[in-house]
Amino acid sequence: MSPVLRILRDILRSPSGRAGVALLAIVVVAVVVSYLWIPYDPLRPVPGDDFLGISRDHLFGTDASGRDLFSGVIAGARVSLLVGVTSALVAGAIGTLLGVLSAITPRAVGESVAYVIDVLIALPTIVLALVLLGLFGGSLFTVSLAIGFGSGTLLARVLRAETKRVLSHDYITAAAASGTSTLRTVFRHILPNIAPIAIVQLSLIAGLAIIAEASLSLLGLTSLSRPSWGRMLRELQATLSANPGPIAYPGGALVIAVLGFNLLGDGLRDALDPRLRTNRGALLSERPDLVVVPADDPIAADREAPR
Amino acid sequence: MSLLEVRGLTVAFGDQVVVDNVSFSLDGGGRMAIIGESGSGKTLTALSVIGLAPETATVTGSVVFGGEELLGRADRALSKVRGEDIAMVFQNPQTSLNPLMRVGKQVAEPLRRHHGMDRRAALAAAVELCGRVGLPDPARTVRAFPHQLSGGQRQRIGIAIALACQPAMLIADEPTTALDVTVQAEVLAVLAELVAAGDGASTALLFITHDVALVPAVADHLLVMRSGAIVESGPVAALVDDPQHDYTKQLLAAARKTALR
Amino acid sequence: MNASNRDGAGDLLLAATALRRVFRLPRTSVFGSRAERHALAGVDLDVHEGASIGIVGESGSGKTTLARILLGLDKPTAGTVTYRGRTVTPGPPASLRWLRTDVQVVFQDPASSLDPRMSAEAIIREPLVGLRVPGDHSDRVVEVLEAVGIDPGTRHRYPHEFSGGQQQRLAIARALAPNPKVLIADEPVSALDVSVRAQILDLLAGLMGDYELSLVMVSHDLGVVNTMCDEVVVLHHGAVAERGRTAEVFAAPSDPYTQRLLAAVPRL
Repeated sequence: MSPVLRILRDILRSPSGRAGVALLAIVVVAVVVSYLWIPYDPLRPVPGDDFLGISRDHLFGTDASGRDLFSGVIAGARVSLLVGVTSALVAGAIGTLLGVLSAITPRAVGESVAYVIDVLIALPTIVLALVLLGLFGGSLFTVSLAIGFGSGTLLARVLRAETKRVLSHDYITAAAASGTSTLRTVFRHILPNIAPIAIVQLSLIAGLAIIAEASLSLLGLTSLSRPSWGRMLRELQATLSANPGPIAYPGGALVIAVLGFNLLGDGLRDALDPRLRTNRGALLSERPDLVVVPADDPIAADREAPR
Repeated sequence: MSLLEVRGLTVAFGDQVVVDNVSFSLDGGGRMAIIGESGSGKTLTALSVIGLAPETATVTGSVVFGGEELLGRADRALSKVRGEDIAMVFQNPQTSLNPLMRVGKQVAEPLRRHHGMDRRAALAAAVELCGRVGLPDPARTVRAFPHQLSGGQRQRIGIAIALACQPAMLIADEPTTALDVTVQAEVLAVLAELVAAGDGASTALLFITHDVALVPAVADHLLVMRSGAIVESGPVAALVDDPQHDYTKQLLAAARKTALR
Repeated sequence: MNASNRDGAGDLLLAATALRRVFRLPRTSVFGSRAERHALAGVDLDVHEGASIGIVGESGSGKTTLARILLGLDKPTAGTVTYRGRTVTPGPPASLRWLRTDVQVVFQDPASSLDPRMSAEAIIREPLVGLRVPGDHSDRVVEVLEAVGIDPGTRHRYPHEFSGGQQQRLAIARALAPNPKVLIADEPVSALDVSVRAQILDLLAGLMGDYELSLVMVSHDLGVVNTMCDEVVVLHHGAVAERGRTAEVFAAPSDPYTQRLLAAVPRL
């Protein structure tokens, strides 16, 4: 079985993974559907159709200007999914590069990079986003870049510490004694061992990116010509007291997307951990007869050999 | 009546039994060692006696100390027993001391807590205790932080803290494993001496280790544990010279193989 | 267990001359120079073919620093290390392949020395790939696994699926894979249970005989050194306090530190 398929199978084996995949599947399906068929133009106001209830014509009803909410939600899914994934990729790239580099380079270089990271963290992400938006317009890419950059610097700090922890193990020294080049050590030993933390962080970052984009849209700072859940929240917010119901659609959609990423992150992390697998490939959660004591467990004193 | 009576102590994590129906007794002033390898359950046994087993563990059986049942008692009641009547010295001198507190204060703490001494009196007593555990220049040493002391010195502080309130029983869990061999000899000597010479009655000692060679110097009675159960028990001299159980024989043979004659 | 019929009079393999290693400690004040720690203060060591040498010392003796320098993992402040006459200059792993095919290492704690995310096979294969060892790697992996007493059928398992003793066997297998001449073992049994120690030491002694390996064993445990090593070097504060044939030194130590050390060892 190819490694990718095996990972997918293992993700589905953990409860978090299943939930995450299910939730994100809803989002992905919404995106796919949006490219095949959108009942109405989500941006075009239809005077007179305001606040129609749920019907066969309007699966979620309409907003104050007669815009179909269902169309808005599935079209907005595109933006959120794109922003989530792109920001995570940008953050991952920046975070891994800076974090690992600052940990493996000699003290002078590494610590300088660490200081630079700390300075960059001090730049508030939203302010950076606003500046970039002002300069380059509200393109999705700009938003993703800003959010990815901001989260990436925080991730760098986390990954620097994690890389240092990995470097303290003898298997890194053993790799050097085995003739493994530094670059290969990074790919073979460091990256796989910092991956669990990175994955969880990135899943959180994807979720936060979606919320950040929605916030910027809520504030009216992103392009009007692009449907987004944040936009819908903004529109519906004005008439919230009179019609509290419809806001549940974009709100619920945000919850599903963010939770989906977070849970997927957990499932992916568990699927990649060899310690949670037996030699026959079952996940530990399926084999309660096997007990694994985590390394920092207090009773590990009785399990591990004394020094 | 014995000072400590353990009957049928069983510790389990879900279905997995880590300490299996362990029973033994320790007289006042007695010195007992528990020997075992990893997974033998020796540490967990000791922790369970003073109610420090992890929350996820189910502890059953009976632990009677000084006539009173300790198992199942509320943590508040137990924390009074700990430090005053039963004290513990741990393996790792690095992590068992508070890194942010001067060591003198840490030695004084049980005195203030259990004996209600005021700060100055407790600190003076701490200085005296540090002298008794063999720390050089105790008046100055009490002002040090743990990281300023060597491993052996930290372990002596650990012993001073444990013996501050002159407990009826001291549990020492691998107290010298993390120390160099020359330091180990000194610390063991301190331990043996103080345990024997407590003012009034001597302190009972429960000494847990994986190193058989240490036992004759610190204990009169020996318990051999394996996979959570006691496989053999008896006087140290008899057991070491003439072990009955196969596992004990194996353990001693293995230890002798890599020991110095 | 003691391979005492080999008298270590073969070719000179590793030679360390006048090794000094000074660590400059981080700055604690703006003024004044940085404090220094003298980890090694002039140490000589010769490792001949067929030798088994124990390097004994307590913490701070410099024994681990010495082992690292012998492997080219650390640069001495002064002094040289040569292997078969060629100077060992620390540098990127690629530049020391020539050394590492002949001089390998086993670390103390298998939980730390085996990458938890690699299978046993991948772990043992790594030096074969990294050191460009010729021949079929898959066959060699099976061969060394059998040599250390691990069922080759389990080679796709991960480290946590093996016991502590088995993990150390895997670490030894990895060191054995490139067919070295010298094995540097840093406290190879200290992290193991007493009953497992004897097995691993027996294994090492057997391998030394079968593969004609020289052994340099760093240890704080005099009993283990007594069992495994013909020669002993006692380190104290970075300098050699005493050296000689193990049996002689342990029976009649002349240096006061060695005497204290021997007196402190608990005897059964």
